[in-house]
Amino acid sequence: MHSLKAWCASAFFALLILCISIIGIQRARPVIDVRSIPMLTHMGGLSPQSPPGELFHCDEDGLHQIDLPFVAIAGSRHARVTLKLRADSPDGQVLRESTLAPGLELTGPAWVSFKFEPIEDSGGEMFHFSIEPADEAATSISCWVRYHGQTGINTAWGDRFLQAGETQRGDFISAHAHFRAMAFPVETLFPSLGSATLSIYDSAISKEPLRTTTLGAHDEVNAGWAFFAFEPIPESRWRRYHYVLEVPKHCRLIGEIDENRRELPVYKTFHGLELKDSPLLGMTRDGVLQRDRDLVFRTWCDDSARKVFARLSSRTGGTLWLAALLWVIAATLCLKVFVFLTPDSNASEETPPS
Amino acid sequence: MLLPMKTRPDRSLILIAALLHGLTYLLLLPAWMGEDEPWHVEYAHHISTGHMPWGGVEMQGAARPEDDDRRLMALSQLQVRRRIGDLEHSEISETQEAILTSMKDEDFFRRVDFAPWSGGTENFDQVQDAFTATHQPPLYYMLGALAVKIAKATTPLEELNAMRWMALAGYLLLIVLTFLIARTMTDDLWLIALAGFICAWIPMHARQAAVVNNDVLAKLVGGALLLAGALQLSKTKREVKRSEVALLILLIAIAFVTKTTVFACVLCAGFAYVAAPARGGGGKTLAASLTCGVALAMGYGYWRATHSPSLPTSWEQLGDRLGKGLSITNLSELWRTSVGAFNWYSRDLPVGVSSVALTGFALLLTAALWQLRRAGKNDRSILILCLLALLAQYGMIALRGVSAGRYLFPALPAIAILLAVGATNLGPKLSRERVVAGVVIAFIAMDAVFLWRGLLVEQYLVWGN
Repeated sequence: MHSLKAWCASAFFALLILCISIIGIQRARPVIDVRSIPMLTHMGGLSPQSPPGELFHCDEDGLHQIDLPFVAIAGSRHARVTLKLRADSPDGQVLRESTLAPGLELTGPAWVSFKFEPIEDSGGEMFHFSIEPADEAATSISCWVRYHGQTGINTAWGDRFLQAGETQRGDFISAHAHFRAMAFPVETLFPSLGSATLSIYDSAISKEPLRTTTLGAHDEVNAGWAFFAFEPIPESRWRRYHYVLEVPKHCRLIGEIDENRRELPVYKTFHGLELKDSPLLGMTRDGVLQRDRDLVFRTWCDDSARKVFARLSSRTGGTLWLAALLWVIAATLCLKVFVFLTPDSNASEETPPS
Repeated sequence: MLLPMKTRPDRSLILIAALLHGLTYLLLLPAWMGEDEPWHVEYAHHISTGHMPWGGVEMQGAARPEDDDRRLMALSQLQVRRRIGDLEHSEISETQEAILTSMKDEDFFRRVDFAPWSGGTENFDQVQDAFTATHQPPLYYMLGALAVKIAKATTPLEELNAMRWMALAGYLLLIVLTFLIARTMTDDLWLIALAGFICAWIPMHARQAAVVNNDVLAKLVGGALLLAGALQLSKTKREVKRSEVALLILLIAIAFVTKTTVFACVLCAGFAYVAAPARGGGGKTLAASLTCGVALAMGYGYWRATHSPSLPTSWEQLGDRLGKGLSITNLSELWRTSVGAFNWYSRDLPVGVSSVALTGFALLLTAALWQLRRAGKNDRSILILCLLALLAQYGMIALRGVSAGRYLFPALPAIAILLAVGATNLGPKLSRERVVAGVVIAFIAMDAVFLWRGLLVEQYLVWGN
């Protein structure tokens, strides 16, 4: 093969490999993707009294799908759930509604997709969606919540119920600064039936709590994590704190047993500050906005190839095209050396080493 | 010889291609997306500001948390203070805060799936608990500090970029070392060129052309040790000169101040030095063995003194690590992170691509082992050295109990040579040219899928909130 032809064939082949490798790159990807890996805190069984939701800002047109991960928290996992998508706020007009049976296995969280007619001009608009049981009865399936913060103490769901209504106390060292919330797993917690209050002290003998927080009626939990949030404590790193948790008489916390065979509640602590410029505006419970947490979910909008490449070009700062050119030249050189050989490859043989 | 003899210009073309290939990765790998880069840049930063990797303050645990040194600063900061002398707390915390700010600006927290919430992060413990690079030997960081100084970098991002150019240089040098080791094995210049090509186009290695990590230097030192060993084995006159022993001792010393993952290459080079002259003068062989033994003992002591987590501290721990290291889970993790994993190993190549690659690599390695049986024009002792290097490197990973593909890279020249030997011995002699062409196309295609469908998509299109 003549040298020029070989070079052309090598370049063509390199370009062909590049083109084949990017087939399907324009496939749509989530516009909003709330990450929580591993998933830490589930909300508890869905109930029609206090359905969870999320307020978010959509950047792209053609919103047509919302995914949520669900988990079965009891044997009965065949309930149907409805997603209602509203304009602007929890009180806005219902734009789309989708009902399905998640069909969960008991092996762990599974993503479920709610598909609906695309909203053509969704870009730049605010939306709210809520998730509720379709059949007006509480269910044993749960969504997942991501609380805004790094975890400090991060114990897993326990293995026993603690005595109902018993006040719990404990001490711990805060791992990080900006201590802002604690989450306790509960069997059931209906704040309308009694006060659920967490107080944080700087020691067990302190009289004045540093922070106190009481759950509202909308914060009911059925086999999930109850969040007690408060104003962040900035200088909390490696400080000892004492907590006192009072729960209603019906409420059983989930706990574990320590090395002294004492039954203790398990819990998580959260630390951190809010972020700016997020499209996530917060989770809602029964229409009440909770800006310090989000439901774990993904949104899907229409993505054309042009949009995808524009996004790629913008996010790579324009180096994408230079990188592609360099890669094609590099592949061309290798293909010329090994694949599209020319007779002049033998022209100047090197003396092999002795 | 059925295949055309390759020429020096061809090898130069492969090197130029490797340079362009490495530059592609340098352009496309976002800042802080190389594994553990924040910790490596932190270490080099402190050296570049005039501090030395010794003279630090030992940290104290305590029975009561109130007396623990962690009341003073975060564990990642205490570990920095333990290694580096004369560092004020403010300097340590300001460095970590500056790097964290840069990580936020460069969308690190949107890309790495397991990264925690970024709001209010002040120290590295809030990204990864109890982690540091300061237990690593200092040579890479001293060179990094030099690069930072030369580039006059002032911000963490500039420091990162300065050190990434070192990664590119390391990538190219390893390809040169592969050429040189392959030349000791064979007269077949085609095979030599192919070995260099494979070394350059293994995607995770090409990606390392843009990563700030001491594995960049470890693989170079490993390659140099294998070359020293290969030169001994390929000598016609079987005796060791003093200068060669001095070179080996120097390389071992460099290995000890680079990274523990080079240890397998130290063993292989030592084996080659002892095995080559064993048929000749016994006295010199014994002297060489003893010198190597003393160097190894000193190196081991040094690593222990630097709190290297690579070394087991008890027989029980050793057994535990071996159990983990030899498990299927660990093997699977080793393969996953060797063939293609992105965003700090939080996302993978599609299973289909990974499986096809595994089949291909297995086929090439099997063909290489077959070649060991009848070495033909290749020097069998070098082939054995390559195989030994691969096995010893895997043994090191098993002993560590934690797998990552990059831990194999000190033996990468050996692996590339084995794969090249396999490729040139697949199929009947008449079709070898086509088989090698097919292998080359397969490597380029794998790299294309890795780069354009894997890295590009995962780093730039799939962002979390």
